[in-house]
Amino acid sequence: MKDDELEKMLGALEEEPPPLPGEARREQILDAMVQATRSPRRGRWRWSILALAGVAAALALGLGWQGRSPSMPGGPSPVGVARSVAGEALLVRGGLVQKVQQAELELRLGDRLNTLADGRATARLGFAFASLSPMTELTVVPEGCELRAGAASFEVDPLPRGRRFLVGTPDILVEVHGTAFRVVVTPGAPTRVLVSEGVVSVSPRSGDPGAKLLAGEQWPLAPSAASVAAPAASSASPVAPQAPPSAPVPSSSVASVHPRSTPAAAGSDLAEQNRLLLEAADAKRRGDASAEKKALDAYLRRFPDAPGAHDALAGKMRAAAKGKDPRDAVRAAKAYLATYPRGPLAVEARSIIARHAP
Amino acid sequence: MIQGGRAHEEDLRLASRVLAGERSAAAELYDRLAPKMNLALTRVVGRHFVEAEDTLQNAFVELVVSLKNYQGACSLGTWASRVTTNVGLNALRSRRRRRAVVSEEEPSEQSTRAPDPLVARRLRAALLELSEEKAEALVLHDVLGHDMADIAVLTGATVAAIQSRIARARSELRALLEAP
Repeated sequence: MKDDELEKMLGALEEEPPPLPGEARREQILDAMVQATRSPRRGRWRWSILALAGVAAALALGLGWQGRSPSMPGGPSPVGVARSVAGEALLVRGGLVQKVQQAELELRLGDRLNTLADGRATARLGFAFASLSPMTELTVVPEGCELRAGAASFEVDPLPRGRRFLVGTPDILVEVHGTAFRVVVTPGAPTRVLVSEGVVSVSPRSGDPGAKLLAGEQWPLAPSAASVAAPAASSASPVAPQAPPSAPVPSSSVASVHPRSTPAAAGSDLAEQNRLLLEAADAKRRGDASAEKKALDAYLRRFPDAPGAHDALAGKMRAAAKGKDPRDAVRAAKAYLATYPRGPLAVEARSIIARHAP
Repeated sequence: MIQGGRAHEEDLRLASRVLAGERSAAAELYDRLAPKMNLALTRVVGRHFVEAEDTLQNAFVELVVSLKNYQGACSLGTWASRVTTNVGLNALRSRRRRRAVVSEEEPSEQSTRAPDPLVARRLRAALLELSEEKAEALVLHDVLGHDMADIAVLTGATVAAIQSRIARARSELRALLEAP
């Protein structure tokens, strides 16, 4: 069976949906939704136990838990804000612990954010926006932050000249240049960095050669590249921090970064395919239909038979439908239908043609 | 693609109002997403099943529960698609188990309005043979039309991993459908 035959079969699932529930039934569903925010559900205990374990760990580390402290000590000027997104997150300042709420809380240099087992939090630090996963520890330092444990995703706006943003972990330093990336710190293993947009420089604290990572690339480098770039992270001793949590990130520590192309970029098309798709997705998020179309065109020109071709044609069609030229929209929808006559967006393509045809 | 919370700040606000138990926010969420979730459920489980069971209510309850993990990295609509897909697939699995125990009756072909009810039934049965990850990726992409970048954000996987998941799911599905 070929792909188009499977697509045709999947078309059998395109059934007309039933009418939406009437007013009385809608009210019942709303009751159930509101109730769901109140009732404990299966599995909640498990999370509670994990959360308690997190608090116990904080106590064991001598963080001086004081519950929800009404007033935290002052200190340096605020450098950012944090807020809890889900579950529990704690702010540690000068040995005092405060629970992070959904309302924004000021962050100062030296502050430490800890998310518990069910906790997620976000932090805005100057030009950077960080989303912390559960069980993550992040300390605010000059020019950036230190990630001691857990995982965080960063999105950094383009930085003005002379400004930098660095993320330190026990074994590496990451310098960003207006980008989005994720850092995962696992005790006993090298820090992982996954770049989704832009460029970041990774520099091992050991002084070994680092690397410049492009979108779609990650650290540590693949073994074949490691023989060329010899990342120190792979042999780094587990977690022994080489700087105290509140120590500033040394500003000269990224000087030894060596730009290079990764094996993924050199040896396979996958990194390039990812780059183009991510570029298109980024343009879509910015609302830049023209840049989105340009990236998708480039993708289709270079990889017409790749598995992402469907998404690229679909994305082009949707971008064109949002554009000003109705002929362009019709052309893109027809191109989609010509390749995927029974594709999942065939109905949408036909409706675009009907809406935009002269 | 990691978008952080800024791109969907409004959705994040709505999600926190829903989680705070605001009924008006629940109504806003319902009115915004019900048509989309109803359509998605119909594609995954079939119209007969959506009408006969409380799948739409289940999907909304699961959506509300899942909102504590919503960080605004994608729109609420995209987030709801994943929840709906999994509610649908779980409902199909549960129906299969019930049928095995009590010989539950299949909906008659007349009671469905699928273009080809027999093919739809075979497809749904085959979907249940795939791993949960593969079935989820295939439904989100091939049935509901989400792009791989969105699915990658939703599932926390890379675009390349999603691409490979979908390719494998298609190949397994083809083999299952070709089997005598």
